[in-house]
Amino acid sequence: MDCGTCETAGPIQVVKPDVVEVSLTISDKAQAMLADAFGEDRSMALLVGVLSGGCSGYMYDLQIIEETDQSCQEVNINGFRVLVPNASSHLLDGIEIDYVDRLMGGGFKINNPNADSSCGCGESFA
Amino acid sequence: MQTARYSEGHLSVWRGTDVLTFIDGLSTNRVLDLRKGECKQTTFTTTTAKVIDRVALFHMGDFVACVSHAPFWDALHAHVSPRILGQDVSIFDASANNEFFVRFGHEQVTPGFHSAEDGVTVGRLESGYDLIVASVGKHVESLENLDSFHTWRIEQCIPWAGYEITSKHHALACGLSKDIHPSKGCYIGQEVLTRMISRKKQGRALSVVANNEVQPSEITTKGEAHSLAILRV
Repeated sequence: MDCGTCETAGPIQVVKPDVVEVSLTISDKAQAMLADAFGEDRSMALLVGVLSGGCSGYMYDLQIIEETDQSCQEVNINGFRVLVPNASSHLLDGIEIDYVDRLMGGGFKINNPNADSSCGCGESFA
Repeated sequence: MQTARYSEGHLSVWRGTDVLTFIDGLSTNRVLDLRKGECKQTTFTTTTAKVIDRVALFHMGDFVACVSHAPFWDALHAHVSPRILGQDVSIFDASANNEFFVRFGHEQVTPGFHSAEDGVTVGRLESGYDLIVASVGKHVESLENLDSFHTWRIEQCIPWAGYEITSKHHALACGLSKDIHPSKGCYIGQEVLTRMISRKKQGRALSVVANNEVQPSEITTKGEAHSLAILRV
């Protein structure tokens, strides 16, 4: 097998969607839960990203972080820092971050106007 | 044992720290634990579990080599490319540097592994045949077409790209159940396939049939007396 090198096997053109300036909202319930999670420390940020995979093709990725290597845009909502990676900004513009309080399937939930469909567990979308 | 030229093979080289996670999230088989020296087949499917392509992955240490079916490459590329997002995955096309062959009709030793010697890499696939990727210019003694291979795989009920493995059918109907990991978790098409498996209802299945038993239009690979067909079950 000749695996090729940068000289003999050129990179395949990858679709790179335009970076979108993201606007998003966080419901009151979700803000209350974030306040519990963050405490008084507002230096931490909520990273809202998208990974490939899941039943529908894209999976949400929520993390509380201090820093990230990813190129992100930062949105400040009532003192909460929210980071959205530029690479997935086109999929996250206009989302609402909500919190669903129930024993099964509860937790943070993303309401996404860009999603044509979602899987049953709500963690992935298309 | 025979070796036949597979002129429609395609080789892409996938590099980056997220490659296995990325492929695992988009295809039917568990590949997260693929290690250097191993090879495994997996199938990319749509949300309705229709096949985009079935590929053979070779873990080469620094990268993963993906042998797919050239006529399906555009569809596969269109499927994976927009999903890379911020992950560390780069794909290179190395098809022009290589030729492809299948070796069949022998007892396989250690399926699931590959070996390389002098520019010729042999992947011993769980499907029961070997896939050979040879650098251009390396001589591999082979038949010039896949006719004998098709005769053999009719006997073995083994599906092949462009014949049984097409976008018309879901992965179970094509006879790709070996590619579908039972418990790996979510991937595109997983809900549909899991429901079919749990309810034991897959609609259609790959079968070996006598030529006079079915309508000619149902035959996917035609043999002299027997053929392969995807029939209602």
